[in-house]
Amino acid sequence: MTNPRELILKREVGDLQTWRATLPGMWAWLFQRISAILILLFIVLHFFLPYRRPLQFLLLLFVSVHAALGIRVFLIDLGANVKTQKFLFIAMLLLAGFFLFYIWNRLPLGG
Amino acid sequence: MIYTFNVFRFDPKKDSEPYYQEYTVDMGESDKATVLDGLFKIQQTQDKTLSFRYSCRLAMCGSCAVVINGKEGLACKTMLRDLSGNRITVRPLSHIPVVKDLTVDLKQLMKRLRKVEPYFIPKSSSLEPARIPPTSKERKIIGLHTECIACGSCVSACTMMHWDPEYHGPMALNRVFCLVADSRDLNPERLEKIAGENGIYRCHMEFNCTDVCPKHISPTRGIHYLKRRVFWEGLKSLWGKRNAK
Repeated sequence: MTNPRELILKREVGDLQTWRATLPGMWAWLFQRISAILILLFIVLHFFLPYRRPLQFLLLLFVSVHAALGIRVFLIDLGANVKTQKFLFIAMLLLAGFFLFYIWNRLPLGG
Repeated sequence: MIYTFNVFRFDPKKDSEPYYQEYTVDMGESDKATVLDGLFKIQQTQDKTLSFRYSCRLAMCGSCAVVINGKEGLACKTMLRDLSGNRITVRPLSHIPVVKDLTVDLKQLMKRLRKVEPYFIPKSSSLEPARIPPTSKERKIIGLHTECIACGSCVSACTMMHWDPEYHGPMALNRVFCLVADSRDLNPERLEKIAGENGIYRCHMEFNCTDVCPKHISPTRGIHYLKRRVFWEGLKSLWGKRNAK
């Protein structure tokens, strides 16, 4: 080769090892972004297919996950120790589960 | 113990595409062998053309930072026994141009650092040494952040470096944090420079830089401190303008 080629590597999303090495903070970020997209999708579905229990459950699940991880971001933004980020990730997912369970069992959500 | 090293190979002068080359290495019975030891053994016994960077061999200089099994780390600090299995993939750092094989062009890192004026500008011209008690609030805020060895692991792990190549990056912003948090520093434009499009708001709090730093520094913490400082300084200037009217 006469002209040397400049090569800059990046995170390979198609590589299984990349996903195995993905760290908790990154998972938290991905969960929150993906749940945001899914919320949009399920809200639209909810308009066209109201009072479907599986759809309601999934919408509530994604809202809980997104909101709980948002609280984590909020706490860290306000100055919570960054060392607690992994603990907060797990704690917030548990909180999301609790919230989901509470709402699903206590509130009337249609037929 | 026998290890299989799957090493990234690329010579920009010869190769049109990068590839991975496999080497089987017997590291003996020692449980203290590191990834760097493995690379040395490959270079000395199997392939003299393998290129990698190293210097101090005791996690002080940051020269040997590479990506080991998908995670950034110092080759001299990463023990083979701590890696799961005996198959090890080694590749150069991401987001920095590859010079050859595992060696990257650190000029790019330094260029990014230079953009943020990473040097101390004293407020006073006094020649007296500064007295900063280790128990002072300011010193506690800065903490270990001054211990950065500029290895580039954080830059490689940060996914935002890919989406915005002009982003200052965690290493440079960590340096800015150390200077902004230091009350002796005089640079009123420091915060302004990092509050722009390629500055602190590009950090999406993925914590990759924090998790891979071999010196256990959290650039994310520094960036968040800067975000709060920019917010309060902005609020103060708004309040000042309102009162001036």
